[in-house]
Amino acid sequence: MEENKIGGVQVDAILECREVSKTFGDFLALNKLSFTVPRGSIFGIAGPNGAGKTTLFNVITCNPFTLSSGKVIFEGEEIQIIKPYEIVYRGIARTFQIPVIFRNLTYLKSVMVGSVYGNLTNLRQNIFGFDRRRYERNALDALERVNLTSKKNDSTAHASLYDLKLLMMASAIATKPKLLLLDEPISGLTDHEIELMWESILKMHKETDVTLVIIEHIMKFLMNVSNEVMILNFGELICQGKPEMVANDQEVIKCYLGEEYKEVFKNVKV
Amino acid sequence: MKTSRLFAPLAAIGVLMLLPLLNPSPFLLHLLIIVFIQGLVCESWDLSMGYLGLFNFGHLAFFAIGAYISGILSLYFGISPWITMIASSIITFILGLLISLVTLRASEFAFSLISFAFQSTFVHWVRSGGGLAPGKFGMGGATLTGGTQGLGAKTPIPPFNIGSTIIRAGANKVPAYYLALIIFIVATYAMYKLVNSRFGLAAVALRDSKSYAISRGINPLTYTAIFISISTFFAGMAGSLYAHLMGVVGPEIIGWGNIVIMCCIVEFGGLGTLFGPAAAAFLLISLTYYLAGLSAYKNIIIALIMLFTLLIWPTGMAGMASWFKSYINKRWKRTK
Amino acid sequence: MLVEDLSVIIISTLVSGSIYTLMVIGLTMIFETIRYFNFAHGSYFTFGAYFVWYLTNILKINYLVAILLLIPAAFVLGFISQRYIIQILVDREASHLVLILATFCIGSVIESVILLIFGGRLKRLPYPFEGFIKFGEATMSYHKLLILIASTLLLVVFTLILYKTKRGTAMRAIAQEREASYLVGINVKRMYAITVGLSAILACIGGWLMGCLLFMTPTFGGGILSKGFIVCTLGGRKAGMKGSLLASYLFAFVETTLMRYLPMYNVPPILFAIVIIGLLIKPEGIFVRSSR
Repeated sequence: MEENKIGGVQVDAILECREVSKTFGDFLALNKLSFTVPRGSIFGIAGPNGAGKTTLFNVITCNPFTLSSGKVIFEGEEIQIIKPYEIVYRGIARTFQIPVIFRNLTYLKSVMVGSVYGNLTNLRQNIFGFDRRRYERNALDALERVNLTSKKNDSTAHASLYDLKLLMMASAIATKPKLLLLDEPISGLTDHEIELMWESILKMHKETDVTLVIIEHIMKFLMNVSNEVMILNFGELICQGKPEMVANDQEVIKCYLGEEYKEVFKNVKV
Repeated sequence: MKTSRLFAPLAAIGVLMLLPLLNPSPFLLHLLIIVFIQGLVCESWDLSMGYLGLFNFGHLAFFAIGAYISGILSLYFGISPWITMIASSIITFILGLLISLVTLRASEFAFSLISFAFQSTFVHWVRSGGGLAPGKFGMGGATLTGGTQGLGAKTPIPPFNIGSTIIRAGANKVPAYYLALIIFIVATYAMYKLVNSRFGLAAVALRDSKSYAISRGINPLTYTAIFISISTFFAGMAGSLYAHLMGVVGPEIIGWGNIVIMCCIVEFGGLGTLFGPAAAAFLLISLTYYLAGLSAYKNIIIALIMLFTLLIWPTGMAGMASWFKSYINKRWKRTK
Repeated sequence: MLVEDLSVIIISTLVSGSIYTLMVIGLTMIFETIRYFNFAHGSYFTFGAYFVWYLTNILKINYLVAILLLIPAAFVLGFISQRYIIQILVDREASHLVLILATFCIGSVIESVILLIFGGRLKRLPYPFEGFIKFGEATMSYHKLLILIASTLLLVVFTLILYKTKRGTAMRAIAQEREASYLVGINVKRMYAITVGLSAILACIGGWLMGCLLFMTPTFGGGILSKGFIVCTLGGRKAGMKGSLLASYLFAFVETTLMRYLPMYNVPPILFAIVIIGLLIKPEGIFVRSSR
C-alpha cells in the first residue's frame, strides 16, 4: 500500500495499477502503466486522442475486456480478472463517453438500473423485486444530487445530451460507489451546462466520500479541480503529479503540441 | 399515469367477457379462441424479441413442444389435461433455460442461429413421427407424434373438463372461449408485472446497452436466460391450451407460414410493448382468416407488412397509438 | 463391407461438407463485413435451384447458358436486397435483431413468390454431367465430383478475394471501422452490396447443385441454412474461413456417419444434441484458438 499526501494528510491508495498492459493483436494500447489513486481525491487523466484513456477504464472495470498483463488492485484486492458485473459490487462505478439512451424508460427507471443492481446486499434481500420503495429511494436520492427530481417521470426518449449525461452519472451514484470513474463527463455540452455539471460533480465529491477519477480533455477544468493529474500518450504514462507541475512538464507539452512548441510554452502558468 | 395506460386493455377485457352474451357466431368465437392462444404466444415472443432484443427463432417450436407433450401425456398416458398443462409449461421452461444458457455462453448470435436450427430440427423430427417406429405405442399403429397427419388425428386429444362440462372448441365453444380468455388475461397480467419488475428493467438495459448494464451489476447470462425461459414457459402453456382445446396438433402449427405470421404480429404490434402484439394478434389473425383463400399471396402480404413496418414505422401499432395520443394531447392543449 | 461403408461415408461427407462450405462461406463473408447473419441466405439457395429449373424447363434455354445466367442473376438478387432494403436499416444503426428480422422477411418473400409461381410439388433438376467415376471399390457420380470441385474452387477464389485483393481488404476494413472507411474514400454502401451479391452467388450455385441431388421444394433451402447455421456456431464466430471449412466437413462427417447407422428420423435430434454438447465444452467454437 503506497501512501500519498493530500493537503498534508496521509491517505492510502484506493486504486493501484501495476504494470498494466493491453494488446489488441499486434497493437499495444496500454504499456506497463503504473500509478496509484489516493483515497478521497480527485484524480484527473488526460492525454491526446487514442492515448488509451478509455481503454484503461475498460481494463480496470473488466468490461468489455480485461487486461493482457499486470495487476489492478482496489482496496487491497486484485480485481484484474473478475466477472465484469461484479465490479460494481466491489464499489467501482463508471460512466461512458457516449450516454446510453434507454428507449422507453422514465428518468427514474433509468437511474433505478443502478440502484437495483448496483448493490449486492440490496439485491439479495429483495430477490423478486417486490420491495420497490427501497430501490426507488436510492434512485430518488441520486436524482436529487443531479437536480433532476422534477423530471423523474419524463421519458428518456427525448432527453437532452446534458440530461442523459446526468442520468448516467446518477445511476452510477445510485450504486453507492467508493470509486467513480467518469469518462469525459463534459464533452459535447454547452458552456453553461459545463458549469452546472462541474458544480454537481464537485458538490457530490464534497458530500460523499467517493474517490473520483476523471478523464477529460478540457484542461481548464481538469487542472483546476484535480488533486493529481496523469497524462497518457500512446498507452504510456508521460507524467503524473500536481496539476501545475504537469502543465509545465516538457514531455506533456510535446505530446499535445509537438516538438516545436516546447520552447514557446516553457513556464506557461495555467 | 398508469391507470390511463391500462384503460384500453381493461375496456377490451370487459367487451370480450361480455361477448358471448350477445350470441355471436361460432366462427367468431373460434377465431377469438385462436386469437387468445396465438396472442399468448406472440406476447411471450415479445418478451424475448422486444424486451430482450434477441431473435428466438425457436419460440414457436416451444409452443409446439408444449402442445405435443400435453397431447402425448394425455392421449397415451391418460394424464389429466390440467396437469399436462402445468407439465408442458415447466418442461418448456427448462428447455428454454437449457438452450439459452448453453448458447448464450458462446454469443447472442449463437442463440439466434441455434434457435433456428432447433426449430428446423424439431419440425423434421415431428414430421417423421417422432423417432420411434409406428405402432410402438399401441394406439393402432400411430407414431409418437402422428407424423404429418398430426397427433390426435385418429383419436383426438382429450379435452379439459370441469366436472361434467367438456371444454373444447367443438360444438359448444363458449366454455372453451372463457377458458382461453381467462388464461390469456391471467398470463398477460403476469407478463405485464414481469416487464415492470426489476427483471424487465434488466432485460431492457441489456438490450439497449449491454456493457452499460453489466457495469451496473447485471449478469447478462443469468438475466437473459431467466427472461427467455419465462417466455418459453408461456409458449408451452399456450401450446398445451391449443392441444386440448383443438384436439389435434399437427406440424403445420410451426410451419413456415405460421412463423411468419406470428413474427409479423409481434413486429407490427410493436416490439417491446406487450399490448401492441396482443392487439395486433386480433387484427392480423382476422386478416389471415379473411385471406385464407389466397394462401400463397397471404404469405407474401404478411411478409411485406412486416418489412414495411421495419423500414417505415419501426415502432409498430403501439408506436402509432402513442403518436396519435400525443397528437391529440397537443391539439387539446392548443384549444385550451 | 466396412471398406464399402467407409467409401460411401467419405464420399457423402465430401459432398455434404462442400455444400455446407458454400453456405457457410457466404454467411461468414456477410458477418465479417456487415456484422449480421443473413437469414435470407437459404432462400437464395432455393432461388438458385428454381432459377435454373425455370430457364431450362420453361424457357428451354440450354443448361450451360442457364448456369452462366445464374451468376449475374444471383449477384443482382443479393446486391438489391442489401443496397435498397437492408442498407436503410444499417444507416439507421438498427439493432442486430431488426437486421435479422428484415433478412428473414426478404427470405420469406422470396420463398413465398417461388411457392406462388412454381407450386409446392417436388421438382428435380437433371445432372449437368451423367456418369460415374470409380475409385477402386467406390463409385462417385460425376455430379458429386463437380460439387466437390466447384466448392473448392469457389472457396479458394473467394478467400483470395477477401484476403488478397484491395477490394477484399476494403471489405474487411469496413467491418472494423465503418466511419473511418467512409473517410478513406471507400464506398461503404456499394461494398456491402457487393459482399451480399457475392455471397448470393455462392448460395445460388449451391442451390443449383443440390437441386440435382435432392428434391426441390420452395423451402428446401431453409433446412440447409439451419445446418449452415449450426456449422457457423460450431466453427466459432472468430474462426474465419479455415475454421468454418473444417467445421463444415467435421459436421458433414458426423451427420453422414449417423445417417448410415441410425434410422433417418433419429438423426436430427441427435445431431442437435451433439451440437449442444459441443457448445457446452467449447463455447467459442471448436476451431478457435482460446485467447483472451
